[in-house]
Amino acid sequence: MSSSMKMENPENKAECKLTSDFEILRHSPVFSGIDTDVVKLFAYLAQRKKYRKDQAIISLGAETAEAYYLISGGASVSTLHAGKEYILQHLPPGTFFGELALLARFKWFFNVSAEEESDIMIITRESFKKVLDNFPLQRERLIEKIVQLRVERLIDQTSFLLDKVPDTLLVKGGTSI
Amino acid sequence: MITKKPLFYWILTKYRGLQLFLLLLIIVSLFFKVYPLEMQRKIINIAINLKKLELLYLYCALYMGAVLLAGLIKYYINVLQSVIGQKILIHMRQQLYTHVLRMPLQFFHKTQAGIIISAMTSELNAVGNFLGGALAIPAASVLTFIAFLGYMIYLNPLLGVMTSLIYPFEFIVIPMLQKRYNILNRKRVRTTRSMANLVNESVSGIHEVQSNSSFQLEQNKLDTFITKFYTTMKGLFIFKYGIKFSNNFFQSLGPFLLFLVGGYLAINGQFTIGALVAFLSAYEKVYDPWKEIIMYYQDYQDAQVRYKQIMETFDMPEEILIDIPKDLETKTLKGKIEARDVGFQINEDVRLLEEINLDLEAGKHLALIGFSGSGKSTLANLLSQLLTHNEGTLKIDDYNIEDLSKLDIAQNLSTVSQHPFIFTGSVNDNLLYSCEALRFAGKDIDLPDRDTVIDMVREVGLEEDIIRWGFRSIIPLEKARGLADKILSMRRIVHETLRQEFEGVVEFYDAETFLEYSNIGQNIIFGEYADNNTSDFLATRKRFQTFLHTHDLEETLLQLGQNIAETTVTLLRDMRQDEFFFQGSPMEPNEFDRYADIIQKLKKQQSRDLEQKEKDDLLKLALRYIPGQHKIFTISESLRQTIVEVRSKYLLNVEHINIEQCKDGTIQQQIVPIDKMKEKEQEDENIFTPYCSSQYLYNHTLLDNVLFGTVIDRDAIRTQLGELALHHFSKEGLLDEIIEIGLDFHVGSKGDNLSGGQKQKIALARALLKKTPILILDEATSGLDNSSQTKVQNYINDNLKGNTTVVAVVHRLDMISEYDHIIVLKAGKIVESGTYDDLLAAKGVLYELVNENGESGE
Repeated sequence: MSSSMKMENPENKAECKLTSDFEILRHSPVFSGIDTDVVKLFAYLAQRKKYRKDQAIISLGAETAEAYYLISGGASVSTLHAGKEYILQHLPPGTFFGELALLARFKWFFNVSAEEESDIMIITRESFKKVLDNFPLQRERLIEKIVQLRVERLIDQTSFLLDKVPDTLLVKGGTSI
Repeated sequence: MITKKPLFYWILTKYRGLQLFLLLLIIVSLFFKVYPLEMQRKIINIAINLKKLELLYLYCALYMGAVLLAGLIKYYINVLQSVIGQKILIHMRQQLYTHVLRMPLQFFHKTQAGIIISAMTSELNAVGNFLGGALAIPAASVLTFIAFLGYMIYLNPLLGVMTSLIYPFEFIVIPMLQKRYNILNRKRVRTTRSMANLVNESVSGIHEVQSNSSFQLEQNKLDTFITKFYTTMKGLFIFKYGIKFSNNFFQSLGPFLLFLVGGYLAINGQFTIGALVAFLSAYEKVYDPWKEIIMYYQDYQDAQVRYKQIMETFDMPEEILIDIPKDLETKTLKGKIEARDVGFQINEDVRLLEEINLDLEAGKHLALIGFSGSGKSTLANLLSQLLTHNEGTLKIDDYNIEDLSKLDIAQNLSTVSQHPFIFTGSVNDNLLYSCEALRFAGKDIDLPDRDTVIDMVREVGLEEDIIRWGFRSIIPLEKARGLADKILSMRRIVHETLRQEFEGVVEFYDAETFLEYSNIGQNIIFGEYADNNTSDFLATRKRFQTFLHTHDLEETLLQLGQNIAETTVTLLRDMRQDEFFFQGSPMEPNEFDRYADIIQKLKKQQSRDLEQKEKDDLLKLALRYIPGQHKIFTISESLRQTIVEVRSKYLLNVEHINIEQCKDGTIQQQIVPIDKMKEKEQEDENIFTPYCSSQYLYNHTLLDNVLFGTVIDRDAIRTQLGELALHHFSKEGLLDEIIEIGLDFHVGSKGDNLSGGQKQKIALARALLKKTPILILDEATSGLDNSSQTKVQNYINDNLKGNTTVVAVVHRLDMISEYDHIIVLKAGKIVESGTYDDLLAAKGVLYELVNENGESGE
């Protein structure tokens, strides 16, 4: 398999989408350490899409179907509370988001929109399932990685919010360490 | 009533002249059947005996002539008989269908569609086959039988009488067997119907079957009938062939007696050989009419069984006065409704409505509300004469409702039910259905014109749906020709006015840039062939291959095809069964093995040593490749440039089109006028359409033709850009054309292509287009989204107040305040009746309902 990756004309090796997406995924937190055959298939099935500034990537309330990887540009996560929209996090390039969509059906509980022109790689739940059906041994490992990623995100978002919370919420006797 | 008529009613009353003519023909043919027998006797006894050659020739010629004539007459008789049968069947089916359509609704509630369908079609066909000869065959057979028997007795009374003695036995045995056969036959009809029903049910409910994966369950249901059918058919055949056997047995009994007795007489010189031969022939001949009598008897029994079962199925009187007396005009009603102690019950003890009293002036609007099962819909159905009340009086304009004919009702009243039925056909056919029906019933009314229909479509909120259908339609060529200007105007708006907005969403066909979302084939020829598979067509086309060769592209593209094949084969080797994985490659799953073989071969030899067919396949892959979609490979920038460069050469040298005319994206004179395309099509030439902005894309949807490019982001068009474009089209007055195309959209079998809301909107428009003084709405907007509901309600308030009596079963309480009168029903009785304000002030049931609703709504 690896020979096929090198087989393209040398002149466009640098810009071959399949290879570059493979490299991106291989170095991403979710896919690092996963069998290269699997990562190659994901790179092959992933779609690229360009988003303009302020264009919605994820809309709150819509059905989930795909996860996103921000290659370049920037995006922000926001949610609605009591009729007002609050920003929860800014996402830098190299971030996975919406990864829970790969595991289950639900409706998005937050918005994500592009803060500038962004290049995004999309992996659909269907392709996730199809690939892992063929490589069942990798499934558990990938699911674990996704959950870990989600936990990290939760910690990040919570500390992002706590930075902005007034001290009135401080637990009695709580002091900074 | 038609169902009470016996089978022979049809035979005795229809086409009697033809049947008589048929009988005469049969009698004439009799002579030509007996005559050859006499010739046989004469040939042996006279010509051969006296050794007279000229007599032999004469008798032989006469013999042959008679046989030929008898055959021809028989041929004509067969045809005539079938024609008569089919002619009678036309009457039978027409009258039966008329009866079926007029039967009360209760019948259709308890009778499954499968039964009605098989009764009206295959079972009736079987009866029809019997009808034609029902009179002529028995008459003719009996006559023939007597004629031959008489001839035999004339030849030798003793032998004649002796052989005829066999027949009485058959008269006993065969009916006995037939009786058993009939019982089984009735069972067969019943089983077949049950099977038809079951299949019909699972096909109609296929959604439920597939989503519940109830394949085995449904299979088991059918299996019981299959087994039953098998046992019945087995029994049937046992008796059928039993009858055949007894027939054959008796038939061979005759010659046995003949040879025994006739031989004895001949040896003793009391009987000539010629007579014996003639006798034998006559005996064989006498058997033909006998066989026909037996067959007729069987067919008759079979037809009788089927006929009775059909008629029993539909044996229920038509409840309603269908036709108005000839000398009376249909009534034009104003729409006043009056009910006095109206009650309706289905069985002795199930009372659905009682003591209903109401007075509604013409033009007033009445809302019926209540819990489910309170009788709202039943009351609506009584008013539209779909059900008939059995207590009290119900009047429209002082006429008792049961005295009004169906046509009176149809002309004065429109109904929209909660789950309206949509007929197979176009949207337009369905919208005009009610009006067309009146015209067919003999009413001299004008069909609504296009503008009226379009206005109504807007009023019921169907416009958006129809526009969407319009865009999805592939416009037939004749129509497209007339619309060319409009289509090009829309294209101009998208390409010029809205160019910036559509950038990145649609890749326009631009002559000077490489098209990332078109395949390599389209990129080179900058166009396509009307036959959808442009690249496969090109790959094997000599002219194109030569072009590639002269421009040094052949090797490059073969290499591209080889690279694609190699990567695909390596990457997807284990996934080749699943089509899903082929989305990123121009290869089809079923081609995998073929390309794997080619790649295997290339490991051992050079590409130039491949067979032509293999080269074609690699070229095919390269030409199908779409850089923006097929991730399996990426082509170089220089190849992109080369392709754009050869593009103009291809157009000029091969297709004789100057690409300069295509540039700028402005609309110019058409290069191949749409008018000419028809001629080309007739020449059976695969039409080439260059991507010049004035071209019509053959075999593409209206949307493709307006966008004139490849859609990259479908969502963006659906969500925002579609609306933006429509806004501009509307400003230019182009929407009506799209709606007109959308009206021709085919709704699918029973409207399967439509959502519940769309069906309701069509039904509403269909009813409103009829413009009747009374309108009955039975939760007619329940499937509509909020804005469409409000739209329809506003139309009713603004346009129908004062001129149309509206009775509406309403499920949304926020819509009832505009009604003149409100009736609240509970368990079949009116519990409150009055104006909205009065009822609210009285703080009764309505007050509670409205407040409860309001609270839960928040």
